Amino acid sequence: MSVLVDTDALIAVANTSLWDDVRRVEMVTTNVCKKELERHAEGRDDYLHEGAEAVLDEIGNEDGNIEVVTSVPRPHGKDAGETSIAQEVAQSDDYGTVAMMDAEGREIVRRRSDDVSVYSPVYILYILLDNDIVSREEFCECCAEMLRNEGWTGYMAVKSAWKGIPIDCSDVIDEDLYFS
Amino acid sequence: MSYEDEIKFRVGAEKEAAKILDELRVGGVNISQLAREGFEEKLREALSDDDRIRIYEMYDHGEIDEEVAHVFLGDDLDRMKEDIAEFEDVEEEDTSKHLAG
Repeated sequence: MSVLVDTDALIAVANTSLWDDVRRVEMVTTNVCKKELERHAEGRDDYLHEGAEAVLDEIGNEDGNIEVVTSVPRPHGKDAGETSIAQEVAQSDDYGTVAMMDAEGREIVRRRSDDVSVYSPVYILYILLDNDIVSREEFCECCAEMLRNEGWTGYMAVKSAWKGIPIDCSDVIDEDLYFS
Repeated sequence: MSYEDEIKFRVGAEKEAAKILDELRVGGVNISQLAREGFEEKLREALSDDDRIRIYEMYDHGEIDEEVAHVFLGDDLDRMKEDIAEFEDVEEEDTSKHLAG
């Protein structure tokens, strides 16, 4: 059963050292998010550029595990990708699990549907941990990468997972890692 | 902290401007409320990502009250609670269903 994933969450996991393992997770995104990825892949921001290219390669790979669905009607504007995810969830019962990077985006999706679990992209890393594909140390290191890459947004994503699951990474990473 | 507590700061033309706005409006304006909301907004705007993280860590360690953390972090503090609650149920889930066969 696929996890519905937005643009920034895909870029976040693609920019970690566990991307090769993440590719084993069945994911689905929207054509609107794919368009955002294509825009990032052409842009000058290295982080967005490299992450988006890796995701687009996987979408283009016929043996890959990322499916793209078409959003109707097509949302426009700055938050079009996130809006398309919220719309998919509201229109279809196919999605039980959503992963999004932005906390406000997660809040919007939760309000659109009661039947769906909405997580930060750390959930995708947790799938690997829970199925013994990666070790706790690798999971923690990967969370640390997300913290370094994504500032306050990354902190919210990682901290909520650590507190909720709960999981203790304090022996693996230094608390200074919180700060850039 | 109650609304009886005061923060004092020096003003020049701002005081005159506030007085004029008060006179322009029928029933006047609540300058205290305006200042409080404006101050809160500016406090949030002044925070860097590192500041936000430090404040959440202080709150998490019980070093500052929730009310104070909320002044700084606003809706994000509530969103954090929802995100944590979501992860609390994760261990009951069969996550292997998300792996490609």
